[in-house]
Amino acid sequence: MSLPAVSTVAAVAPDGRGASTVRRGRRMLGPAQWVAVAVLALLLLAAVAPAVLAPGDPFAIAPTDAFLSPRWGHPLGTDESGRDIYTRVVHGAGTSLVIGVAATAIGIVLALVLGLAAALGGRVVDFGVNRLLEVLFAFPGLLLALLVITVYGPGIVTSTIAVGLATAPGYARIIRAQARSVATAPYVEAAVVLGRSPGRILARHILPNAVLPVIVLVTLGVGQAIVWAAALSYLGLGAEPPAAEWGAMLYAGKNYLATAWWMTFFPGLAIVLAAAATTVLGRALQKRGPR
Amino acid sequence: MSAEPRPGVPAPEVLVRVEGLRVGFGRRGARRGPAVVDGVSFTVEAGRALAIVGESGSGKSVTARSLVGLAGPGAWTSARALEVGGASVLGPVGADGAGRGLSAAAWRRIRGGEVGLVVQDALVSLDPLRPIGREIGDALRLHTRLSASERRARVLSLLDSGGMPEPASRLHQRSGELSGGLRQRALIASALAASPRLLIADEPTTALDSTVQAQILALLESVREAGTGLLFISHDLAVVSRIADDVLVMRAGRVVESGPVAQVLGDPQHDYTKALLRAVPTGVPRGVPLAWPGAGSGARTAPASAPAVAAARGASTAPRPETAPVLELDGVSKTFGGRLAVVDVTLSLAGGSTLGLVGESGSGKTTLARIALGLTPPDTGSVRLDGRHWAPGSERDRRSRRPLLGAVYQDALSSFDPRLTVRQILADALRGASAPRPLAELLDDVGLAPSIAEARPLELSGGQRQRVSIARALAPSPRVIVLDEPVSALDVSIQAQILDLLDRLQREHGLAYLFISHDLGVVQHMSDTLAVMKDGRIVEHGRSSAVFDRPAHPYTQALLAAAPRLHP
Repeated sequence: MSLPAVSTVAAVAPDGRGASTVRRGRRMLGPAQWVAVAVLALLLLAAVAPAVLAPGDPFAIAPTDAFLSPRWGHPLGTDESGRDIYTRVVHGAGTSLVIGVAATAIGIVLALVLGLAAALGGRVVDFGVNRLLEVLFAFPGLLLALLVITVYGPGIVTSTIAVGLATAPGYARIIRAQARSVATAPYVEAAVVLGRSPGRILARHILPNAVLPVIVLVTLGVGQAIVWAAALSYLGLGAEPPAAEWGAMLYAGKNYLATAWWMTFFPGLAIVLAAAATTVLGRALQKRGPR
Repeated sequence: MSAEPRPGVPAPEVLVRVEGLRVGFGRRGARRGPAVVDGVSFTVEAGRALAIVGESGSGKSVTARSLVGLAGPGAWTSARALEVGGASVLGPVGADGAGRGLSAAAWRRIRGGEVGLVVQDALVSLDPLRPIGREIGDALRLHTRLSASERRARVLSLLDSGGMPEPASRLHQRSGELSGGLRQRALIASALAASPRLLIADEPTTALDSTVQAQILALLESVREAGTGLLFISHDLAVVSRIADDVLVMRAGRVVESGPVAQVLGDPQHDYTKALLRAVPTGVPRGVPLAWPGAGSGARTAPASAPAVAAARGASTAPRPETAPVLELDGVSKTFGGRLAVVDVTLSLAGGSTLGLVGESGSGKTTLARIALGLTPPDTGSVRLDGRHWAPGSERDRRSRRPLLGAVYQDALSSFDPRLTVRQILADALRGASAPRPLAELLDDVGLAPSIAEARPLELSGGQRQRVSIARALAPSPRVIVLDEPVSALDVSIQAQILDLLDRLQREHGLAYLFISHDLGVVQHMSDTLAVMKDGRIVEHGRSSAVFDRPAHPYTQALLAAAPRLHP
């Protein structure tokens, strides 16, 4: 870490007086990251103002135009009722992104409560939370989501909550471990020696240092949540046809896979692109390290 | 350790010949990166020890490691001659004059076979999952044709001659189950396994306690006496003066001075060598500045003119006025899970003075520091701060008096919140002060430029970090500062600056120090009174000069005997 020139010069001159060699360069994004940024920007535009990209109505039926392959006027083809796939994929972006972000937010908030309580709440709370997390971990995430939907019925709202619940245990463990290591860090002890109150130490040192690294995971989590929500819709448990939602469109297209591949291919491509873009950006953030 | 070849003995075999060695890293386009080792020449003969001395970044390790092709990834090497065991290891020379190095197979024959390498941290150098018997046997498997049972016998004799107690039972232990000293012995044994002609030891004793260090040095001496050449890398002049025949002083990649050890250390010619020697605190009286005053841009250390030094000496010998104790430990004990960490310790620290606490790792020094800081409650006994009860008790009761007591840690970096800048760190600390001082004044007090305020600790040098750490402890205007190994991680010249700084701050602010260190020289230089700790107990306690002149306890005597001194 120490630059040779600095430390050897410091041997004669008092080290503190040397001009501080402060390095504050942010690593530039690579081409893959720029593509991911572009994809996400496009998805966000589609979510906020779908009419800009696809002025048509995603539900407009045109039975005579059913099962058209991609062509001029219908760049991604049409489905069994003659609805334009391109328009529906664009309009589906909003639903998918909202589900992905909302599910992750639910998961993170729950994980924060559980993880911080376990890390800082004393031995009894830690024991309780850990056993709860172990029970939740015993079920695969999707199975846990299915359980919630079985109890509360299908639909976009329940499937969002279900995905959020399913992701919470993983985040909670990470936050717990992070908060525990931060809580015993020498700099927290240094704050105690300076006479800071527990509340101030929590707000100033423990929370930021424990939670900021998790933000990176959240970016990765959004992509995963989008895939899970689409999976639930594909199983007929989330958004239901004819909703313009990618998973539901996959479900609708699966019966025509042999004859109308575009009905499943393009919604699937949208899911892959959204998940890949958030993952690529999340990894880039992870590499740069929390600051 | 005479410098001249012994009369009547034929000139010893030259094991290593290095002429005009240049090493650098990286390539930018067609041009290679700047040289970090520039024009270094030396020879190592059989049965003699050459020490390369320098600070971190001086290029001493890179120099030694280029002999075995381990200078580092992306390194380029050029030299007029780079010979190990009479054969060049430069490899084919490219158009830019840099040696391409040997083939991987050729290097492997040299490493372990011709040259053994011992590094500082044996814990990471030995595979934690493999028994040390296998680790040492590997070198034999690769470089000899011994059978399994012969290898086992050889490993046993290696461990035995390396001073490993009960070698037969150690064979199956893993590195994590051994103490630091035993690990280092195992590493030396594995480096010597294939009977190399040359042993490169890169800071082999830096992480060790002084009594263990003395044992390892004795082991290396016996290796040298057996006819092996020794290339010894160290920043510690006292260690070098004990083990080396010749010495090479490096600075910023160049050799500034070289020659027989008695000549270079006894009559140094170069200013840098003089500065290094002067920075060694052992035996230097209290109050005499250690840091080289040459380039003093804003340095507030006392000028080193003869009268000033004499005045400082006078001041230090004059008895300080005894003041009331500010920190008192009374019959303090602490047990961790059945292990006695601190046993019935009673100590008292007078205002404005320094109490040195010396002991080896695991002796309970740090636990005692934490008890004094009110971070670990003692099982029995009590602590008084400024005449009033301090610990045990609830943190709430202590909080309002926290500004009286500061702390400086060995690892300054980890004691700072990584998100915060120096300004934020110090602003936090100043918030506790009754009359906060301006930040710039605080920085100036510890010899830091105001420009450093916007930097994060990660961007600072080790010395700068420790200065920030001291500034933070100083900010609430404390009466006592607990210093736990504050200079152990620093180069000797930086250590000298920090010790000078602590000394000046003590006089200017009337601070009392609880100064904890494993380094006797540092403690002797800093302390008015001294306590020697072993296995959680204070075995000797008294005025610093008295303890050093007439150590009463056998352990203190052993510690003093083991401490490497500059002029043996």
